[in-house]
Amino acid sequence: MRKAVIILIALICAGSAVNRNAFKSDISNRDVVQGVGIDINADGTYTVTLETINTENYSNADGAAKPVMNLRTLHGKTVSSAIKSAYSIDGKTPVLSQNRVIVIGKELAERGILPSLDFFIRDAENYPTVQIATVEEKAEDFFKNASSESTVVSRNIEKILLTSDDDMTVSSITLCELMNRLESAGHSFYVPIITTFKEKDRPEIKSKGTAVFKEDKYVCSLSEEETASLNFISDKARKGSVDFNTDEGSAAISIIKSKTVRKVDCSAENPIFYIKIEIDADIAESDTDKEYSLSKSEVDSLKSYAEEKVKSDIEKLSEKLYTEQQADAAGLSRLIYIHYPELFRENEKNLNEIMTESQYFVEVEICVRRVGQDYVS
Amino acid sequence: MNSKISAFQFYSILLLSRILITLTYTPKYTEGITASDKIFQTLFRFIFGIIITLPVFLLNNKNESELQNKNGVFQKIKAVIFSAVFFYFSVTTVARLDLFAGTVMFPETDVKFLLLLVIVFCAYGAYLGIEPIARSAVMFVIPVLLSLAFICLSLVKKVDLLNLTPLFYNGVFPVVKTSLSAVGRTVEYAVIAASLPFVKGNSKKGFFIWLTLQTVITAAVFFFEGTCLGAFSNMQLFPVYTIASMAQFSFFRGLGAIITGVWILCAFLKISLLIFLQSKLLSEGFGIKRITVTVVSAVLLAVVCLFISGNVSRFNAVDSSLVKFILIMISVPALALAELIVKRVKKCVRQ
Repeated sequence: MRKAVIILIALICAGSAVNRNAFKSDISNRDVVQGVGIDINADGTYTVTLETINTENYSNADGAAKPVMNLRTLHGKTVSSAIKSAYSIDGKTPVLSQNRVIVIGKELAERGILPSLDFFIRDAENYPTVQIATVEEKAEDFFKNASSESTVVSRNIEKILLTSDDDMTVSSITLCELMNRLESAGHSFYVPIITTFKEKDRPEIKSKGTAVFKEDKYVCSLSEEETASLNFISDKARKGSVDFNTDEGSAAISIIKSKTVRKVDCSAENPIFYIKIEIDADIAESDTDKEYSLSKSEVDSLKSYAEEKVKSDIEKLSEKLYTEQQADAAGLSRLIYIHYPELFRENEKNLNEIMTESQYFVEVEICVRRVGQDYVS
Repeated sequence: MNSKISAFQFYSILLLSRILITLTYTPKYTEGITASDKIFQTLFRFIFGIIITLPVFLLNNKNESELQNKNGVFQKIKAVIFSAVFFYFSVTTVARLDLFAGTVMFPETDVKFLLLLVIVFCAYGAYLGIEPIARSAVMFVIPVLLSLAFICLSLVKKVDLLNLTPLFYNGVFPVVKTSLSAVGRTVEYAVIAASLPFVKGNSKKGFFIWLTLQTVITAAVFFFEGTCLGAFSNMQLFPVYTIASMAQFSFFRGLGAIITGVWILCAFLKISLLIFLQSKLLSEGFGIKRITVTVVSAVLLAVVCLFISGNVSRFNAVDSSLVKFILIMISVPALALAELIVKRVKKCVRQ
């Protein structure tokens, strides 16, 4: 019995320890990938940019300063062959299990990204939670422009994308979510756009709105304000702020909590979507000529302005997405699939037309929780 | 099984063994059904499970078991059929472990040596007898259940109910077919049919608790798989491993390692049990030494598994849902019904 238990414990320990990259060769012979940039060339081949940790920094104790990260540009007929070609160049095998982000170049986004993602779905090393982003240039150029000696570009991109929980002007999507959207009813999805800029001669990265994809091709981009509206419709907006104008000046609310309830009614000729957004917010700023303290009626007035601003922004976005682009980036058609499966089955092929003809009713309800370090007179 | 084990020990082994099937399922088994159907079909499985084991429990009630002739021709036929079934299922279990190890654990390495090591350990476990296997199962059942609960809890934040689908979107038939296929993959029904006479305590109550628990666990796993992964689960070879690798709790990330540990542990217990049962049935039926059967069975298992190892076409050919379903239907309800009829006829003739 004791022997059996020892064997079992040994097996569990082995099983737990042996995860993906155990028993691999020396770390200095591996390229630990942090980010991948993908571009398509005119002849249909791929250029893959790998941002990898300079593992020789860890294995060499010569004290010489070396860059933290390496940028490697690889070419291949497919994404996998390009990545695998790294081995034949310097004998280092890329490890994708630490990959944080896949950056799609502009041209690839326009021509269709699905074939380039197939490798990342099949490869067991790659996690489905890897973030996807796109750029308005070549991914290779983006990585080159954003790199400096001490920065890990991919880590910074991931940090920015993960702020979408706190800043609704930033969107984010993982590989798993993207594939779900693509397989889902509307076959549309969105991908955050990132860009570089210089600050004191140092390259920095920031979010620059969202790219909308129909099927797997880029169709239009959304500004940061439109991204916030997209996050509201998609029930992904959690925190952030809304700036708006009043008759007396400008004001802002700080969102503490937001929840979107989405319903569809298909009993009429065309579906009617009801989007109700419930926001808990603080008055962050009220730039008026009046007294510093806000009266109850002024708070109510600010609340109405904010509600109207959020509502009109969402209505404009739904017009842009569903009427102009016929792209269901917000995933509303999923509601038809869930609640009216028969209607969905009958109209699966012309779903985008149905979404264009649908009506969208937006209701915004803001509950003002605090007015800052002030009282309501 | 001269030394009997308690119902709790027996169903603990079976629970771990059944959990292995849930954790290692691949989307080919649920083809044609959607996320919500996967959750709902566990109810069908529960009902089918009761139906197919009903004759076994009828056969093993007090009045019938008194008539049991342990050295009859029927027992020899049973021993051969059950041994063949258990051998086939041990092959598919090892082959699945090989597929997992070769795809996820060591994609760049030949895992044949690991397979041989597992088979040797399992044969040794089987040689030690049912009691060590049972005690190990009792010891590990709670940690395994807690590990699964921990993974599920850490996935709560990733649940997206919009990934659920309308019930029976592709009709009822695919759901029923998938449920039957799942019943066919459950070799534990055959283990119950072969081992029930040797279990102490209230085995009927134990059976219902076991069936309910495995239904709840499977439904929970399908719920988290469906809501966290959505359609992406159909693109993954081992979706349960994928959701576990997505799970995160505090600074713990990528809990796939826990699933790997649970998987190897359950596989060890299952393969040991199946080899043990083959050796026990054949030694009792034909008087062959148990150690001889254990060694022969392990060697055969190793040969077949090494032949399948590293070749997905061979794996797909061997791992057939239809074959499994037929084997389970023959070894569980058909055999029990036939034995029941023979006994009743004998009883009538005597009277």
